Amino acid sequence: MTASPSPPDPALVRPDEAGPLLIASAAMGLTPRAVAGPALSAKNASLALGPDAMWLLLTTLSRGAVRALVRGGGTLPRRTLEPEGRASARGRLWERHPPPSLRFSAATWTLLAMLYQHPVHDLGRAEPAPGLLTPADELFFLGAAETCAACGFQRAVGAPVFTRSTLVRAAFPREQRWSLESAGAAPLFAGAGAVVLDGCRARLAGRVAAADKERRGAARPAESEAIALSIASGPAALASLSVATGRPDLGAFVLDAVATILDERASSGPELWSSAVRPDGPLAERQRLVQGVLPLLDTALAFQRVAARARAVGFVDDGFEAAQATRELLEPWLESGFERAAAAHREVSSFGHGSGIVAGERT
Amino acid sequence: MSRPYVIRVAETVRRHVVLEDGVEARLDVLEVLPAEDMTALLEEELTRRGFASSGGVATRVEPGGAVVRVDVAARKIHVGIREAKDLEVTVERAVRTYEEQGVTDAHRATVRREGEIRLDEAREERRREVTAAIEQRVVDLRSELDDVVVKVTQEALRRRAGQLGEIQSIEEDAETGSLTIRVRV
Repeated sequence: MTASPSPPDPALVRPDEAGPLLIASAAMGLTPRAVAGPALSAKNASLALGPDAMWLLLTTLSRGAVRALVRGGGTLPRRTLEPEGRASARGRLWERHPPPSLRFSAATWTLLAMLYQHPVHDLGRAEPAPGLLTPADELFFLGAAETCAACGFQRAVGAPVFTRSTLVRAAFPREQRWSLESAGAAPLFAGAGAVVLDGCRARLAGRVAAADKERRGAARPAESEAIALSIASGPAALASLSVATGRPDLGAFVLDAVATILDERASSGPELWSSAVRPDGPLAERQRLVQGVLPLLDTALAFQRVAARARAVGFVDDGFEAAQATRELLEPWLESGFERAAAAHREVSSFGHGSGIVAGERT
Repeated sequence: MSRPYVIRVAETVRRHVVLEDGVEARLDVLEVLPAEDMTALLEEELTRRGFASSGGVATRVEPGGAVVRVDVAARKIHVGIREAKDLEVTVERAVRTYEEQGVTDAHRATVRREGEIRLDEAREERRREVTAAIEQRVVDLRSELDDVVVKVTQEALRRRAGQLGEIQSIEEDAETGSLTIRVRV
């Protein structure tokens, strides 16, 4: 299929082309996501787009990619850590990076076709096509997953079609539970991938905080524990990899998520840690449920060690610029944030009243 | 017309049951001295309180059967109970049947299922007792563990002060646990 060489005027599409274009537009955030619901739940014939519709699709993807990065956290002034101990000047995403080369591969077309052809509740039957995702594909996959969730089809995000995306894995630990490994995540720590991950910080932070809320609100202990394990091997693992790779700036979405959780803790009691805790249940089970928050707290406290190392770098030492940028990155946490995280860690790791594991004093 | 019979069916269900529950926590010990010195101080204090040390683990059996284990070097404490016992339940039921051959496998299976349900209930009842016993012990242990940490920290501070210079005086407030050490450097 080929696109029109120039913008069609006016752009006319067939009725069978409107559905996939709507899904793509919703996935890229150009259309309210809920509007794609009817197109997602219908079963349709094979995806085929004419030249005008193809032009519209390509325009949707390219404009949507820019919009996604801007709205996903790119407008906040920050600094980027660069190789060899350097750091960029402070600025918004497009001020810190030259325009990244974002190329959508056949994987995006394949996912769009699957979403269009298969009713979304039947996506489990569709097998993912093999191959690596480009950073642009990751944006589309994340947006498509968010669209399914926004339309009430959150379970569909657990389908095999989404298993190749690192961003979907990090954003939806309740639905996707495979273990993130460094080889799969590596493309997101350099080049265009790093720009995409940087531009998705706010989105990922919101989704990780939401996932922990789902863990805490799960009524069945087994479900709560499963989500906790998935958070540990998904978003927490991605943030840990960012620290290990020397790019803690790209894993800071976990800090934002933990800040949300700690703010909630400040205004509620120990019952916050898990709804599945049974007052007369086994103590070991109560402890596992309450300590389900530990993977995120442990990851946040790993950034405290990053901050300590950055503080130790002297003016004349190599990497001073990057160390300064790291301190700036972690500035909101240095005064009391890490202490709050450490206090929460001590609370759920103890026998004290604050954890809610063991009941109060008995007469 | 066939006549109904009333047959007594008795089934005994036996099961070997292992019940285990426990909870773990970290001892929040300030590392005033090098880790191995703090470990030695902690082990001394626990021994003074009736713990038996072996292979870096200090153990004490509590009234009620809970076992407290402290991995001294890791600063981890576990309080738990593990018991293995044989449970047995006998269920007797009167079964009305029109069959002349007496007790059938189906009758026995029905009564046996009831026995297994009652056994599960008995197991859960015992599990709740075990959990309650551990929980009560932990509530009682909290203040003792806080006291252990305070004592170990105070001793570590005394020794550290002694390394810095000549100790002039030590004042301890027993109520608050605060310690004031004057050192001539």
